[in-house]
Amino acid sequence: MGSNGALHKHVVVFGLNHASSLTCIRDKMLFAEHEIPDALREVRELPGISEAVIVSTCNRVEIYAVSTFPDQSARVLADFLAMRRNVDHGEFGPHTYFHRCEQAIEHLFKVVASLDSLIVGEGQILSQMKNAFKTAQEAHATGTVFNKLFQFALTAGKRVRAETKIGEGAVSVSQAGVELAKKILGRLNDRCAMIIGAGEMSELTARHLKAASIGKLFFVNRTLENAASLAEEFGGLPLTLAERSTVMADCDIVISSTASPDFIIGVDEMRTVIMKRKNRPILLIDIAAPRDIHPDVAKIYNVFLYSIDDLAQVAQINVQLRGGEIKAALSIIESEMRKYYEWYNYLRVQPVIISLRKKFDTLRDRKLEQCASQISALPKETRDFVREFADALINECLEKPSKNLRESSNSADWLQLSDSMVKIFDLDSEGTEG
Amino acid sequence: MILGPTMTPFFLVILRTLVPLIYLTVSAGFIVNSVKKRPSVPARLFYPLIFAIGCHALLIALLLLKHGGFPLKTSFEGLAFSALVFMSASTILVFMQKEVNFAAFLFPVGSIIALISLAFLDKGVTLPPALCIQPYAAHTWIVFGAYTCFLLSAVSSVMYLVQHHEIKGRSLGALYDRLPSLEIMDRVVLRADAIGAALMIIGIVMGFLWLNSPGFKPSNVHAKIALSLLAAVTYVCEHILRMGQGWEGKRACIVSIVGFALIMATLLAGHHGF
Repeated sequence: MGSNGALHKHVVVFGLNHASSLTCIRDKMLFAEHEIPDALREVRELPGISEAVIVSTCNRVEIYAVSTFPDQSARVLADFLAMRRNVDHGEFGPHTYFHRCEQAIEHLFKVVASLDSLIVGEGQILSQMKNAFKTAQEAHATGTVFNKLFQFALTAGKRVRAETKIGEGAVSVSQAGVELAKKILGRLNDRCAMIIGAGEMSELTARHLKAASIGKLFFVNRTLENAASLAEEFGGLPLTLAERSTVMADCDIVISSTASPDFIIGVDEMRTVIMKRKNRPILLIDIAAPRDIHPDVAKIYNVFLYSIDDLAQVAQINVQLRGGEIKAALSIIESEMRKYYEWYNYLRVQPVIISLRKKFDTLRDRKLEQCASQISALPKETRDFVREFADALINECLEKPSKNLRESSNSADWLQLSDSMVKIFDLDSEGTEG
Repeated sequence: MILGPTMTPFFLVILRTLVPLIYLTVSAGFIVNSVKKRPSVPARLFYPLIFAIGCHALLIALLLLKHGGFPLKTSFEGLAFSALVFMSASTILVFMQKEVNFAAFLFPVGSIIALISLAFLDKGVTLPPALCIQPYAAHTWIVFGAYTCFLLSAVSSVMYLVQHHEIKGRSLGALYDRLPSLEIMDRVVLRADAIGAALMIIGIVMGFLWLNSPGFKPSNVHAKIALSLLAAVTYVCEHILRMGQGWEGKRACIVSIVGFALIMATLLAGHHGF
């Protein structure tokens, strides 16, 4: 009977993420998509490593591996990363982490369920992990353990998204602004937005608006060049501050984030705009400090004014709501991890069950062979019946012992029971140890 | 067999019990769905809903066949017809707008009307005999159709005002996520009121034709007629203000609710006696 190799192997994870390192360090360690298959082959050639998956996103660079020597894996994987990325140990070493066995498995499940993400509940990580696993499978870098482990982890991730509210609500100011626009204006694909100012917030909001398929984007700046560069990036139209008022009545969303010390949109101007719009609703988002839009503008009919503080409050509520879902997510993770361990523990007794079956099959074949001359004299139907009867008898005899042994794999007495089986039925004991 | 003299009442009783029961169960399901903030339309709720609408339509058809023509005989029969149109329109609305958030608010309203109307189906005020003769029978159908549109608009208007209050006041509470966008609700109010007003005007015109019929006596003019005219004028004004003065959104919703209050007053005013 052959040894079950999976039992001598341990899951490990080595890497760095948004919590352990700064972006500048992570950027140096990132793997480009096309580099990963080669890197996986190299990892598998490292001592003791039989399976590997590399996860490389803007928030984390992690190598998951199945190793025979987990104690040495941290050093081996660190050396590999240093060599492959051409970065000194001292530069990234203090920002890395290493988990083995249960901790590594729990870490994987939490990552897939986006509990380890910078923004808890973000939806991208599940597909990123799925792609990482797929790439590893295509590079033949996964085997018995990872094929099953990632299957359970991805199921846990999907369940967490479907069964909890962890992914609900906007958790950033710009995202909250876009969500609000949808609640006022409905679908944004035939709407027009104006972004005044060319700061980081403007860029972020433009990105979210673009993702929400906004119909038309205007970028307004004192300097036309700055507006033009944003317009080019996001496919909008650049305007100067002076040109702004001519198109403002056509815009359903106006986002302002300039460094102007005075209000740039006043009550009178807004009254004129809303009159030209025939009272069609308009959303104004003021993310500037100090404010760009006069607060009294909010009193005008069908004008909805939100400041950065209002949106931050919305985002904060959603962050708290997501936090409240962590417990439910952890319980799903626990249930899927339990299923994985049940499968993994079964590997401990699987060789005994297989051996037992083989023993009885051999016995049946031998006995049928011994009676071959008598059996061959029988009609075909009777011969088939004898064969079926022997199969049924073996199945009946082995059903209970196999079931009990399988169930014992998750209890403390599994070794005692499987040893007894080996002795009673005179099986080869190799491979039944844990 | 179903239409046999003994089977029909039995079958009607079954349908009268079954339809509101399914409606209420499905509505409860949609409310739970909304509380749990599930974004997708749950198919397991739509199948029984469509089945119940089918049963409801069958019930109305059986009722009309029982009457030996197509007139509505009592006020509750009219209400049962309104409930059917309301539930059907709401289902189409939820599907077409892909806005499951409407379901948790519209279906319970329709279910309650169905429950009341089907429970008291044969107990309502009997409509004047003249309304059982064609073409005047169509007057009742058209007017109840208009009432349904106004109800749909009134419910959407209330939803709009709640959402508007949350967004304008910058206090985004529990209903913010559970209500549809202002734009969709405003569009529903606009269309429901437009269709309702058109039906109402047709109904009133038919009523005037009836007024000129030989059986009419001027002493029979009822408050219901005056209130109905006032309600129709209110809805027409809403449209004129929308188009001309840009009264879209909150103001239009308030006018729509006022219009519906007048419609309720016409119902409470009883029946005109000719």
